[in-house]
Amino acid sequence: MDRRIKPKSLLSPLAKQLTSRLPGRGLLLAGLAIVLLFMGMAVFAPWISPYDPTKMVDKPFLPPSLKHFMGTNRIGQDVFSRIIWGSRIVLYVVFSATLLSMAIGIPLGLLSGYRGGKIDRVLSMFMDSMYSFPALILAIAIAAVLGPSPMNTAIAIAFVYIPTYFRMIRGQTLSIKSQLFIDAAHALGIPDKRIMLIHILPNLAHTILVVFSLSVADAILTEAGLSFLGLSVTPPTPDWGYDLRVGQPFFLNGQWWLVFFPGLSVMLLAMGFALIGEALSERLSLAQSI
Amino acid sequence: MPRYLLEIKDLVVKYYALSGIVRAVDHVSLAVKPGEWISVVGESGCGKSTMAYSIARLISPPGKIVDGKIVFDGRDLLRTSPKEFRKILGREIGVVFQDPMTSLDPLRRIGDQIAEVYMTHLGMKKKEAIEKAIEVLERVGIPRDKISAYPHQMSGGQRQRVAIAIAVALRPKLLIADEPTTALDVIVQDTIMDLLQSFKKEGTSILFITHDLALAAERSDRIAVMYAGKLVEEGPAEKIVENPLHPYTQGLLKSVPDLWGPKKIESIPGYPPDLRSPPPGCRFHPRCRYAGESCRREEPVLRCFGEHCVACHRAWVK
Amino acid sequence: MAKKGLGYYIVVRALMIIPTILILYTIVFVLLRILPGNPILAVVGTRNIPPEQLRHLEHLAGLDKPLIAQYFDYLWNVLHGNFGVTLASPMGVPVMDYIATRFPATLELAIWGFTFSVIIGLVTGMIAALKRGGKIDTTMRIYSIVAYTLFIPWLGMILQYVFGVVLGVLPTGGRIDPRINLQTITGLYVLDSILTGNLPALISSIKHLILPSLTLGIVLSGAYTRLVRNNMVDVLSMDFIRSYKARGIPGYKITWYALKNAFIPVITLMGLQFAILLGGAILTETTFSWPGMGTFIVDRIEYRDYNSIQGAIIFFAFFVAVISLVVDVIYALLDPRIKY
Repeated sequence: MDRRIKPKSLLSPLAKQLTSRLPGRGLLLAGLAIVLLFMGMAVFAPWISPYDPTKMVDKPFLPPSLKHFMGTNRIGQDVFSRIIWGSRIVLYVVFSATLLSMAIGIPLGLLSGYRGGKIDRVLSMFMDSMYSFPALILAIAIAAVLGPSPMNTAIAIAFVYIPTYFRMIRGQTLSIKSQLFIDAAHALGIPDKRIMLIHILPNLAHTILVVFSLSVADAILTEAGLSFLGLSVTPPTPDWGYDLRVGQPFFLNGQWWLVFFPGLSVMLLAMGFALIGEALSERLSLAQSI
Repeated sequence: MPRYLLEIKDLVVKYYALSGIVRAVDHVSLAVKPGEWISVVGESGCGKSTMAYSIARLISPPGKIVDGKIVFDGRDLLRTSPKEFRKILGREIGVVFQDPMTSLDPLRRIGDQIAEVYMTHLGMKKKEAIEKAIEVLERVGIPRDKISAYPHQMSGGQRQRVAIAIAVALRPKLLIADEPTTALDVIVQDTIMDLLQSFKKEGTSILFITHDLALAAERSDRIAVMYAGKLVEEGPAEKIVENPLHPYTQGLLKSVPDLWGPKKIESIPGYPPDLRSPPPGCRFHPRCRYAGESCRREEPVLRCFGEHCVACHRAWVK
Repeated sequence: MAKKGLGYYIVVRALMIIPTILILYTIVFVLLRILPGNPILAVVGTRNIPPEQLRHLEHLAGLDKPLIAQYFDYLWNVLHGNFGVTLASPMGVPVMDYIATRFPATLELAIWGFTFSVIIGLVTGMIAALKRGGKIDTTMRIYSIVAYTLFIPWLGMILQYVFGVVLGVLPTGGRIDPRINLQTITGLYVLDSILTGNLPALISSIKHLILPSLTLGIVLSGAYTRLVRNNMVDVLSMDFIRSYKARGIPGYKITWYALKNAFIPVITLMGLQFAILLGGAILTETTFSWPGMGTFIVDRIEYRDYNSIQGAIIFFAFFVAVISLVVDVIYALLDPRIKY
């Protein structure tokens, strides 16, 4: 029928298509730029940070100026330097946490989806229950018991995202498993372990990348939340969430820079990853629909 | 009474695709008399549905009606205000779509969906509208207790009956049916065709869109054949079937199995052209065995021999 | 089929939350017990305390029994509404006493935040879908990402600063003006003020609610904006929308029917969003000094009162399970295609 000459790419007239295509590409570029900026800050912190973030370097409560781009806090520390060094803590915690949850969630999901049966039912039930529970509250409980340290925070956050990876990998494995080439591999007598690693896992790469970006974005907010509640690092370690908490009473007095910059950093970094995830998932769904 | 209920004149519809402009309907003219059943036949993508949807103004971006006139019952449909047009559509023109599984709202009872037409166009109260809905439901052969059923509780054939009930609820002068039987199995197909014919007998004109020339031949008064956005042949149904003038129509007929003859089934070689850049001259010439020099250069115009019209340079040569 | 099976469905679905609760309970229990660290020592810190007192504390917390016994004892107690006692000052107070006063505050905040998020998400998502492909659509899309990545305390503080400090129109903390005397019935202040006909209390509690619930609502609306927009775009391209147009149904009605269809998958998101909302509520409560479960947990963390934290978390587990039940039932009520 006539519908055939209206495939997806024809959905809007030429000019519109060009402009609406750009934001998709723009999203990806913007996200990458933000993420690279913060990663550069974290890696080169010792060289680009103008001051020692843990020392009193000037009078307290100085507003932003050329000497202190983001002012100084209540004990005379340079806010800009703390933001730069803070990116190290955030990225360290978030990446450790994400790698940890991937290391547990992906193999379990693969196994559960591929094997099916009892293992699948039990694992799924546990993971679904965990998934339904408020992530931040779970992380708070674990972090509270473990005590404040970046690695402990990473462990607490890792628990939260295990079900995310498990569910996604399990679902994808189920759908790939039913495809013909897996049957062919079976018929050739290839062992299960090899099928999972060589034939299924590579097909999940794009999905994992999308979930990675989105879960990192989420984990950044969770990390900031934990440190806001005083569960991540101990002072004087520079940390965005903690600085935000400490700055609150002064912020309402008009010392806006104490809260504005740490919060903006949390948002931008999370947004960087969210933009990448959004752009990638859009490409993924497009690729699937073609 | 005017001679024609519906007159389409020089209709041009284009789709503005990323890869180019598709001329889906290219200067097509067609007229429907009151009480007449006319079938538009053609392959997928020939523009027959686009033409039908143009009448109901259901063409949305990237598609656009670029040129032409559609006169219905003395009114130029392409130039009436949206408000005015809404009073015509659904009341004087009914539309039935191809896929009954998706053409009803899954969240609303069918009774409510039928009654809504009465409430919208005639301003009836709910209770009265439901009474009328039961009436029309029984008219299309569905028991009255189905009035409170949801679409998913019915079969495809039943759903298509409901869709027809909604389309004819206000006794429109024109019923546009876009492949209403394609998604159904053959036995159900027949009963749906009977149902449509019963409305024709009550005076409704039917514009029937189909890819199935045999199906069209059974019930139509007239048949129009479209190819690559163009109207290539048009005339009384029996003339089209017995004496097709256009090589494309002949090809279509040969590709229909015949129960009563030892006929060989032949398919038309090649594929319909890319409508972003149709071939010059006659659009059918790359697939036509009679094609000559003039066919490659010059676009044939529709010429009529009595009631039978054809757009072909070679229609009388062969 | 139809509605006569609904009661049955609700009962079956309610029975199904029992395993969910057990699993959540087990996960929390195991996590909190296998993790290193003696909770009692965590409370008292590194101070040396007499072994007798340590044993007394362990007994209070039920830690002197084998793990299996602890598991069932605690479960038994929880099923009887006993969530243990506090282990830090004030010591020995039933955690349930705190929950009874703190939970309604969190619930009230959550309900309002939830309502804001759904309304904002529906409106923005719908507008984006109706103007799809254009500038407004892109704007809404960026809004959904920004809203999602906003850090709750940051947004909360900015709202506090703008509306509380600069404009001075709304309070920046607490649930109600402390000078107002409100007789509590449900613990939901807005409802209580209406029930007791207390107008000043009603105005004051609404004023106190606006900023925290708006903070929560904005942050959580992003997910709805996106989902409503995408569903709505899908629905608008469906055949039955074209059928409605072909029947001459007015546009606003078609939009309404499309919205109803687009809303069905949103209900599924709601259950999940409510859990995220409870997490966000902890940050919101801390930002706005809201005396709810969140501030309670944070207070107890400062005392390292691990018993109270466990009680509060287990309570949340129950609550989340009940919410998922409610969401499923609503889903079944709204979508006639669901067979129960």
